[in-house]
Amino acid sequence: MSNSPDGSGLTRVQSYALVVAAAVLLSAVLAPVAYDRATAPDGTVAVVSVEGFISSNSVTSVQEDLREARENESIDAVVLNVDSPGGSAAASEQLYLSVQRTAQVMPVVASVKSTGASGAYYAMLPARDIYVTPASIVGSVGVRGAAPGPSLPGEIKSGPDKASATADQRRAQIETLQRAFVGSVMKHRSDELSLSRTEVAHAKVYTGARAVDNGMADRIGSTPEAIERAASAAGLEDYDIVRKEPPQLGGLFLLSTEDGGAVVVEESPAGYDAVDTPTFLMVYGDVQTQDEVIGNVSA
Amino acid sequence: MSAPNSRLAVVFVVIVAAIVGGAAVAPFALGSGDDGAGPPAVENQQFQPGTILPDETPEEGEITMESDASGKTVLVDVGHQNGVTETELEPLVSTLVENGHQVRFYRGQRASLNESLRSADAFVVASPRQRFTNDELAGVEAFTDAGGRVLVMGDPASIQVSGGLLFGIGSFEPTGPRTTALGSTYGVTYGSGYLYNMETNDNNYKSIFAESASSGGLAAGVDRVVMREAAPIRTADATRVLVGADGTHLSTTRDSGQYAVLARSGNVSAVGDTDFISRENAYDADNEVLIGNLADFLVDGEKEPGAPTQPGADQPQRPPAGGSGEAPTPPQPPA
Repeated sequence: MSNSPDGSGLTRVQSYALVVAAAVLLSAVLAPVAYDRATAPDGTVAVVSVEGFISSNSVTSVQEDLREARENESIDAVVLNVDSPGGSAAASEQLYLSVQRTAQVMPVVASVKSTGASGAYYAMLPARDIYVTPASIVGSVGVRGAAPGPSLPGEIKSGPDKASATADQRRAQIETLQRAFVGSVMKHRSDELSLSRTEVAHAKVYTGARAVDNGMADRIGSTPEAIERAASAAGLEDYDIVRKEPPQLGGLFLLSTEDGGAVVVEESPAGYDAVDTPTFLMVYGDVQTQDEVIGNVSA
Repeated sequence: MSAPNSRLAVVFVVIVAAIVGGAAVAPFALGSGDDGAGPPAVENQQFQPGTILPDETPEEGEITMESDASGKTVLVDVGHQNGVTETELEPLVSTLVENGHQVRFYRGQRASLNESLRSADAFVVASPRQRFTNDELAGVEAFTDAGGRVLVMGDPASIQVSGGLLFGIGSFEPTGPRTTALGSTYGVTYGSGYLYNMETNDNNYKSIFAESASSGGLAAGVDRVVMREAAPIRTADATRVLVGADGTHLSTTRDSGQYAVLARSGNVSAVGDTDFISRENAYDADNEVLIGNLADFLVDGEKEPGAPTQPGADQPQRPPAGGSGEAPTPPQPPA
């Protein structure tokens, strides 16, 4: 019956046909994977936005983006897309540490769209390069803190320094934060800076060209150049770009007024609800620590 | 169980063991195993307490007076919308009172300044926001000519809020002390801007150290004092008693230099700061020594009684000066 030499049920031709069919089937499954692998980019550059006032809330989502970049093996470099005048001193430090951790495992390049001052400049320090355009503003290496408000009438406190601090104490606190800030600038940029530590501590802001000239920034260019630089530092010739959405800032409240109109009040981004805490700020520009009326939409 | 079936079972078990075991071992073999490492560690020496905690200027000592004088009367001006309250002047006032002197405040309500000066031996003006009238300036000059001591304290122009800040109504106005006319009588003026020192300071660039530039007198026993916000004092002839420490700059020009913050011209002393005298700052560095020296200066004069005695100035023919600004003097009655 069978003409198979080993006595099985298939002829040699049938066996070959079966093997060929199996090979084709297997290849049909594997070929797309191999094709994708062959044509896939070398890696991915994540663009993380740091926009607006740096507060505890806004910094959390940026930190999550950075953590994901560190843990996601497909991401090889990070570009910080910065447009911020800074913010809370504590939040700025948190962001700095987060960027510093990221810069230890992959290239981080910063690009300043409009403003990268004070706390935002702090956050950019660990970046290997800071890109600016001529109208960008960077710098303002300084700390500020408002005096606490007066005690409530009839308030009883357990100690003389509860809920307040003497001017001496606040000066010492501000000086401490300032030394950490200036120390960080000198740690990361002393090789590039033509400014002395004292000149940095003047907290001046510099426009883009001046900043490149004095070493506060590295190159003139915008975000695409920063992305290209980050990719090149990561050894990527062909790469994808993943953009992380900027954090949403605090919401707006609508308060009705007696005449039927409505006043739009923006919640103060610094401090905590219901508590007027003395906050240390690393921010450039006029600070509105109280709730701010931004418009009256009454007809 | 037949032999072929048991062989199949063995094959099944071997395959499952190989696949599961392989999956368990593969990450280690391929180096992709989770080795339990957390986020990359960062080291920031610039954050360590030893690097960033500032020194604080010791606050110790007592405010004492050396003068033997007693029973002198010191008039303190609070009637020219002064930027300094009686509370802030308390250390100086208390020192004078504790040493047997009398302190009176000129509020510009009942008597004119010149009337008040007549019975005083010394006059303290701190950061007046209202100009002295010509009569008052003449009165103060006559007062010092008669041996009365005058201490002028000023500070840099500050931003004052007028009209309240509710919903942005109101405005900010830069106001400087109206000390120019008073000081210029004695060859002393206050420069614009404030002094700062980025290198050597008491934990803030505006909290400058001032060191003695002359010996004895107001500078006796003073090594250095802390001024919280000082204006430079410009003078040609007066003695520069205290000058800003090395590295002191002027805010308006950013130039460094030897800026005087305390100068003396005869019976008049001018200080460029008003904060150093408050109780909170009174014991910083040698501030307490300086406050004692200023108290001595005030009571050490020998003023002739009755000055100023300007014709007409002692007649009750014009309203009290306080709050009248530059109101014209009413015409003299016909003789």
